[in-house]
Amino acid sequence: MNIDDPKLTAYALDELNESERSAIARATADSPEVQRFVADTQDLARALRSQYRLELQRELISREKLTAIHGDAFWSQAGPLGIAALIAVMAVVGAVVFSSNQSRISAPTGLPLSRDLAGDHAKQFAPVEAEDAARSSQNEKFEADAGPYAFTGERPFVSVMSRPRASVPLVVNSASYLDVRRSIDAGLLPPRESVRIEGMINHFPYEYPQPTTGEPISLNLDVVTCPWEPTHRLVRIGLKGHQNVPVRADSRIEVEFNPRRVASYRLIGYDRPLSMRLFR
Amino acid sequence: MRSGRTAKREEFEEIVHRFEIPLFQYAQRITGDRELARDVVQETFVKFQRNGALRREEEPATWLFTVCRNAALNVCRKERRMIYVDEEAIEARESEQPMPFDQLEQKEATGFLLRIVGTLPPRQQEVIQLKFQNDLSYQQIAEIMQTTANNVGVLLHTALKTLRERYGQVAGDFIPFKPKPSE
Repeated sequence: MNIDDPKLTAYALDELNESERSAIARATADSPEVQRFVADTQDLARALRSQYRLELQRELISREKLTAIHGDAFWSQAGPLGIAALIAVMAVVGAVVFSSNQSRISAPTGLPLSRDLAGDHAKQFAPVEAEDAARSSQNEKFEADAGPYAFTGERPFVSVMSRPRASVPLVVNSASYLDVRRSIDAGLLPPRESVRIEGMINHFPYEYPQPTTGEPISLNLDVVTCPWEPTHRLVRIGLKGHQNVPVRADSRIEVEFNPRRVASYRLIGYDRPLSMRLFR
Repeated sequence: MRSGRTAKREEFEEIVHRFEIPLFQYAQRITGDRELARDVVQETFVKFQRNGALRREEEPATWLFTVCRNAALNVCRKERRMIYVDEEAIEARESEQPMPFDQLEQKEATGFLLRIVGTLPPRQQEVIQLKFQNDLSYQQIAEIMQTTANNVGVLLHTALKTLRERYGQVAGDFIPFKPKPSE
């Protein structure tokens, strides 16, 4: 029997059934080379097991404590988040602030409203670019300390009549979230500049449905009454891409609001320029 | 007398205790990042609990490693901004391995054998880890890696052969693979 036969390794590792094992034992009984191979393989297996055990012990001793995974409080809070997953989420506040007559959105939450959000108007207007926030005149005062995470302040509300379209990059990464977590784990408040709201949302996976056949992405829309301002609505737009469809790294999502339904809006997050370190 | 809830909780904690670090190390190998691996393991246990896996009587290892692997691959896809990362792409990470074999020098150091494992192609590393860290069978590994038991056998055979050769190159004359008395 050839020592290049994977069956011999399986035999050495006791992965064969009784009849196969007996057959190989008979076939190799008078081959010192094969017997040495089997013994070497078993020695190697023992050494590997031993080293993995040592590695586990080292990890036990030296590792940081994984996020506390014991206790009901943890499960009740982190469970829903932990399940999440996905490619990209954009959070947008669609709010009515300029006209009290328009403050009640009559459409029920869910997809019907999603269609209303996309109007036929104002295609001539340039979209609000999420990364342009730092260049907005209303945010200029925040630019003085521009650094990798230059804090530019919250995005302002934007009139849908003047800017019906909002656009955000389809870039998902966890750098900001992980920075924040590392700081908290170390018992420190995270640097204000490192907290990117979109990073806190996009870090988690969400169980959005896979796109249907022929569609590159699935669109998932949630609309709820804003908890801190009942006349506003919070809108979350979740996209899940098909796993086999590559998407350019500089792709953007563009959302168009219908000015008949929404007076103004502001993006949540996306208020700091992306730093190069986020593109790992 | 313990309530059913308490018993389940203890059983769950025992499973967490038993698999937490092996899953963490498995996820870390796939994602290449400790922080992301932490999340992958957390997600795996959340799913485990939610799926009522505690009620099942079968060995949870296959289920846990499968879910962990899928979650880790999802993280790879996500972090690469929707660029699909398939098996071959992960295989291609071999060229990014931080420790090319010819740079290994501390042959006597503890864990040296595992450092040689770190120079193998990723799928070979994966079978080695699942087999010798977690004592899973060919069939269980095949289910986790979505392949056949035969293919697992070939991967393992090839990996062990390469390990033996590389270890022999640096180990010189001393008898390879004999555990030291202190171990």
